[in-house]
Amino acid sequence: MAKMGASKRLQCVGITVPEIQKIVRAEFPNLKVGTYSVTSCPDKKYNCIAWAADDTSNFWWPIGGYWPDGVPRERTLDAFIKAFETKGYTVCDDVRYEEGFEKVAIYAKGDKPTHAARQIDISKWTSKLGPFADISHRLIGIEGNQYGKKVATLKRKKT
Amino acid sequence: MEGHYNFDSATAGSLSPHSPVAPAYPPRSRTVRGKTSGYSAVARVIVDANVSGLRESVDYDPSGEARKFERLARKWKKQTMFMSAIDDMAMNEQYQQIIGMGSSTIPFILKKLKTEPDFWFWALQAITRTNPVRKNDIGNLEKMTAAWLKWGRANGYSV
Repeated sequence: MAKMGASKRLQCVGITVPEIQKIVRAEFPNLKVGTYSVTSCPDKKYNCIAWAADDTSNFWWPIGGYWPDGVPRERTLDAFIKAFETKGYTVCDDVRYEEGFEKVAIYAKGDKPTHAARQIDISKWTSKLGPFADISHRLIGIEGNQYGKKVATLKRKKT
Repeated sequence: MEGHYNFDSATAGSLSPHSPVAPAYPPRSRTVRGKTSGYSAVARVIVDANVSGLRESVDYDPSGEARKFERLARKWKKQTMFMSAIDDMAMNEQYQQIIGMGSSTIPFILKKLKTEPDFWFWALQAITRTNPVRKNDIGNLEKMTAAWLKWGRANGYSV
C-alpha cells in the first residue's frame, strides 16, 4: 500500500502515473501487478547506470555519455564493473540482501551491458528505465527482451 | 525540463505548412536555408511582426522534410524510451534515417533540442562533423544541449 501511495503522490508533466504504469507493464511482462511501483517521473538527465551509482545529474554510458575517468570507454561487462568499482563496489556472487551493504546488479543482452539496478531492501530493487521513469521492482521483473538477464552483482558497504 | 515528458506529442511546435499566422502579419525579412533547388528546398520564412510585441517564426515545409523528421523522431523516441545505451539509440533505424537526411535536418534537430532536450548529439556530430561539447560536459544533457544551441546560433540557425 505504501508503494501505491508513493505512486499516487507523483505528478508528472505531460503524462500520468497510470499511463507510465501501462507503458512499463507493456514492455516488461515480468513485472507483475503489486510487485513494482513507479517512483519518479521520466527524466532524461540521468539513466539506469547513473541511478545505480547515485548520480542524478549525468547520463552514464561508455559511448557518448558520462563515464568515470580511467575506465575504458567500451561497452563490456568488464568496463561496467570497473565503472562501479570507482564508486567503491566490488564483485560478489550473491544477490540476497545483506544488512550494511548496498548491491548493484548489471544486466546484459549477450555480452553487451544494457542496464543496472540498485538494491533497496530484502525484496526490492530500484531501476531507472533509460530516460523514462524510476521504478522499484523485483530483480527478475525487468529481465526480458529489453535488458536481457542479470549477469553480475556488486556490493559495497553502506556509509 | 525536469519531469517533462511528452510521450506521444509530435504536435507541440510541429511545422505546419498551413499556419494561420503567416498571412496575418506581413513579413519583414525572409531567409531561405538548405538546398536551393526544387522539392528539396526547405524555406524558412521569418515573420517579424512588431504588433504588440509579437514576434512569430513560421516554417514552411514544401519538401515534407520537417514532417518526415517529426515522424522519424516520434518513432525513435518511442522505440528507445527504455534505453540507456546511447549507441543503440543512435543505431536505431529511425535515427539513422534522420542522419541520412543530411544538413537540411539540422534546423529541425536544433529546434527539437531546444524544446525537448534529448540525445540528438550523435546525429548532430555525424551530420556537421564537429563537436562543440567540452569533454567534461559529456553526459550532462543540459550542458551538451547548451553547447549545441550555442553552436547553432553561431552558425546562423535561429534557435
